[in-house]
Amino acid sequence: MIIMAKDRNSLVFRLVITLFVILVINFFLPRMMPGDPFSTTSADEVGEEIIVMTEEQRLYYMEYYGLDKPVHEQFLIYLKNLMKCDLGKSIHYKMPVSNVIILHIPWTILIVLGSTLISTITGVILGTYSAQNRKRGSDRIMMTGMIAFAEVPSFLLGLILLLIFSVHLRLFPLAGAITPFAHYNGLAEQILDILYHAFLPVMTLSLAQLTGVYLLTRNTLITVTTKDYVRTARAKGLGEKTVWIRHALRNALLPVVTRVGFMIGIMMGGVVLVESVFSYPGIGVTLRSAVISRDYPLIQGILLVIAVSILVCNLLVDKIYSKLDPRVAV
Amino acid sequence: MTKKRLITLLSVLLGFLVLITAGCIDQDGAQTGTLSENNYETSQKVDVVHLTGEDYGYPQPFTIYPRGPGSSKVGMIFDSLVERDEIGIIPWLAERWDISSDGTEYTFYLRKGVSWSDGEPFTASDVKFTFDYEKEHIPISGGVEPEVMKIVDSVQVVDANTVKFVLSQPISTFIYKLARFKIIPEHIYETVTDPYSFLDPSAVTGTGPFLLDEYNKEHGTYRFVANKNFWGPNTAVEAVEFVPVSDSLIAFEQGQIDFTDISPDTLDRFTSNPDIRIIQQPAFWGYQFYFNMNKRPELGDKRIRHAFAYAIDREELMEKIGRGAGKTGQMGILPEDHIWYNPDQPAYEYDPEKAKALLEEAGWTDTDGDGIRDKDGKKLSYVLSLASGEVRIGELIKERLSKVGIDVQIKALESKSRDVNLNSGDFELGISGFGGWGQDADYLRTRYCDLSSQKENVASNALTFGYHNDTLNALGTQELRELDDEKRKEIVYKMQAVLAEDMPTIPLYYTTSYDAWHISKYDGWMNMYDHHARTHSILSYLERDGIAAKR
Repeated sequence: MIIMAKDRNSLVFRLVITLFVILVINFFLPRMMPGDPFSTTSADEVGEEIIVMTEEQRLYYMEYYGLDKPVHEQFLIYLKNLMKCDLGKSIHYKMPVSNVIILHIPWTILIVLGSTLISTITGVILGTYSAQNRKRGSDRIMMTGMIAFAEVPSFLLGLILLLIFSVHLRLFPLAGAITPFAHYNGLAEQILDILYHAFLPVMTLSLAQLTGVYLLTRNTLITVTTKDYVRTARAKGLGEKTVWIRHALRNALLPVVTRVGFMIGIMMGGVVLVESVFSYPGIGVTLRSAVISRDYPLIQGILLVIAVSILVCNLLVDKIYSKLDPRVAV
Repeated sequence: MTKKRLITLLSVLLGFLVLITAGCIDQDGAQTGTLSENNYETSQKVDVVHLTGEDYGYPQPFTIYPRGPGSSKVGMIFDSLVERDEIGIIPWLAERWDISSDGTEYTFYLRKGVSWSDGEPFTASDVKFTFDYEKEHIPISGGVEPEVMKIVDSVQVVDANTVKFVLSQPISTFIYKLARFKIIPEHIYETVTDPYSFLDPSAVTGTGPFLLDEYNKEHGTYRFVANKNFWGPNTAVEAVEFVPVSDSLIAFEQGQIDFTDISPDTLDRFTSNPDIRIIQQPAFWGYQFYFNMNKRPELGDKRIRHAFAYAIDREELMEKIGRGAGKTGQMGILPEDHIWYNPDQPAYEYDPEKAKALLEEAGWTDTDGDGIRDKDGKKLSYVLSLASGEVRIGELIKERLSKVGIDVQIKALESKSRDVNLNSGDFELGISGFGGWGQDADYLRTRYCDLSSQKENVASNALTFGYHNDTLNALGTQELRELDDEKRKEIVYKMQAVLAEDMPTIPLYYTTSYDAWHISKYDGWMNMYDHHARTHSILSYLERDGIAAKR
């Protein structure tokens, strides 16, 4: 009991330290970027319109948003507000950061979770199939295809899917997360509309993640099937299905679970690009525009939320891991 | 074993099929949805124009975003005293105005019977209130710059329909500045202490031709509907909808939007369609090349700057990087499409021999044979700061300059970092691109004159570090005081002549893209005389009669 309590304390302690380091980086990194939210004078793209502020306007807004104070003072104010669960006010969106995040993060969660689910299930199924047919033609073809496929960057994949399914076949919408100005007759219609718009972004992210899961499942399964306990299981006269699912797959899934946990974090990079391609109103494009406009409070807020969700994911992975592999819990 | 393999394969296939058909079913649902919507539209004779959308903020002057075309959305709801058409300034909320002979008193006679969209009457008091309120709370868009505000001593309500602006000194651009000054309702904003977080529906109460019917921040959609009580010409479209698109060309081809701008490369796809009208935009967006004469004193020698202009092939830049859609830079700064462009100025066409001769004349020769000219141990070797999107422009310039013995190293930065370097004078040579070249020619003064009165308010893109010209300063002062448009135009012509000779910066080229729209959907698009975007003009959505009649 004593040991467990100590463990728990150290876990909490570690989390607090991690969180503090994240807070410091989140706060200072955006401010180290050149420029400030009000000093843009030239456009990023040809033809882009921007309202150029005069020096007087710039100083006025710096004061309004408290950016004229010394940085360490700003940091203390930020921490103090954070204690009150106040993430500050977005400079670009002119509304509380928490509201901006709440508005956009469900869309990202939808496509990230959706694609994690699809890529994991499909990857495990295909990986198992490949492992069972190791060194046969179908396995070789599948593996070569998958590896070649993995080299395609997710935004390019998104563009290809967009071109095929939205532009040529016109099966899916070109952009957005819902039909503009839609008024739904009931929840079912709304859910269908959301799924219809989410389909291509989810497919893009799923396909981008698929190869990793597939390869890991296949290779671990191949290693596992050479282990003594699988041989024992077979020798016991267990059915091939039972051997594969209860003995081989269960053990092979351990690294896959770990990978899925990390994948959610890694996916954030891909999400920004995929959301841009499909003009999907998620947190990725919001972060991008926050960085472009140097919206410090919003950058901090989004990075914090992402960091915390990755921490939570890792904790969950630990939990699931110990369920799958009772040895870890001890 | 084979049976099992088949089952696994089939289940995988089935999984994919389910997903794909799920998409198809939704698609059918969506299609019938739009079909019924169309039927509804025709039966009700509702004319909707669809445009490219994105979230640009709540369309009131304090909450709109500074980046992107948000200002035009503010302009759909709020009116200014005067408006701009294809020729110049036209009366709007003010029917007419008097200017005192010394140019310091502007009396505006306001239109009678104008009311706010909530039914309250619009009066002179609203104008005074807006001005005073925006002294305290600087708007993002739809205001008068603080520099101009300071010149205004007071705004006086003469009677309910007359308002007088008293200025401390004459300023020729005052009426022009008021064209962007959007009047907000006193009875609503008087109690608002923080307009930057004022997102109430009453915040978008205006006198303008449209009402905000629906705004979705999350998805970036706006729907504006005609204001039935609008005082002015009838609206030609009943509703304007801004919808998000991933690619505006494809969305245009598929009929999701009715207007788009297209690049010259894709022109061919549309020219054969008789229902699509394609018109080139005026060239009011351009790239400028900067010299920092403080950091590199030899650039203060006019001959060296001229050598740059002769050595850089601006035609080539426009052809290769602008894809032929654009106009080459004029050394008088104002582009050809500007209403006050002076055609009588030297062209400085590409002429490397002349550039070499000028450099020789200034005493710069290649003494050590490394291909770079030098003088007194100093080399004509420069760092050119630009944004990552402009690297190709930089590469071409580098190649051309190396042929005349000027060495350039390209420093590509993220655009915001480049802006910081340019603004703080931490550069030797620089390039940046920006719009607004069609605006009132007074920008020649704010950018290139270093008058003591404007020292403290560094105007944007006034990146002429170390540049000073007394003649230009005198002309600038004159131009600011001159209230007669014809005389002022003459002065602006002279300023262009001085600039073309002196060359404090080099405009490289002005880009133009093409506007394309479906004629059968809506054909009323017009261009303001000083701005390139047709969709930004409120007159584009109105019937062209009465005060908005075509000129």
